[in-house]
Amino acid sequence: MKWVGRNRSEPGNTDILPDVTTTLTSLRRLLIVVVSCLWLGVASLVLAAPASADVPEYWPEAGEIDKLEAILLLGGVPLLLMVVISFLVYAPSIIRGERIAPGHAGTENQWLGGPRKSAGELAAPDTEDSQAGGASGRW
Amino acid sequence: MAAGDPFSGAERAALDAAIRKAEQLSRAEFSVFVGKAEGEPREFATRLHNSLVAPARSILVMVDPAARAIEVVTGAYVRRTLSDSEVELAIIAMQTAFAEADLVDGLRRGIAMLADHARSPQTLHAHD
Repeated sequence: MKWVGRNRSEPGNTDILPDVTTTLTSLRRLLIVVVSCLWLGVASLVLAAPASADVPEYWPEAGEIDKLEAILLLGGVPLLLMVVISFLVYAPSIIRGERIAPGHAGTENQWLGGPRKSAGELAAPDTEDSQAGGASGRW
Repeated sequence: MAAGDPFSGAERAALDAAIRKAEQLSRAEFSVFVGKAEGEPREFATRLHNSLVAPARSILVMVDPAARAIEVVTGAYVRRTLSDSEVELAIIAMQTAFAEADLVDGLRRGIAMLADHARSPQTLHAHD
């Protein structure tokens, strides 16, 4: 077998240099990234220092907060809003006489071409000697 | 469409038109009940039918979508031209449409078939 180019296995071969160069370049890049991150971290801490400053002296003194007032404000207002929104949502349905309870959205009875009677006012069912006919089905 | 109402305005108008056309064709009174049958469907349907103004001349179609039940009750006078086997054919047509969740089209088809069968047979007048 004849090698094309120089044999890498020969002692003193200088073709190993490109590999070493690549490794060094990668290390240098990693170092740059690490140093940049450190710099950013330090810079953000330094720049954020004013945020932890004391309250300015010319600001008015905050008074004592009444607990009841806080509860009313933080709990009462959302509760009131909830009641108002619920009322606005359900009021039209209540006015129209629709059922609003969950699980009761069944089909309303519709009788086209029939008298306006409720089930309690209906006539008696057919007896054995009925002359009526018809058929039944299920699907 | 109001909550719980199975028909929109257009669907209700289409059903009303189908009922009117069927009544003109057959000279029978049509009534369609869509809702919950209280008790046994057949018994409830006959109660509805007996509550009509002229039960003998009326055809009642009752559909309970929740129970998937169809009942057709025909009055004694209507039965002279509309046999129970013809009613069964109309029920089959309705069943097919209802199975495809097409309540309105099923009712229209059923009403049309019932009216078609219920109309008096045309008499041929032979002159002499």
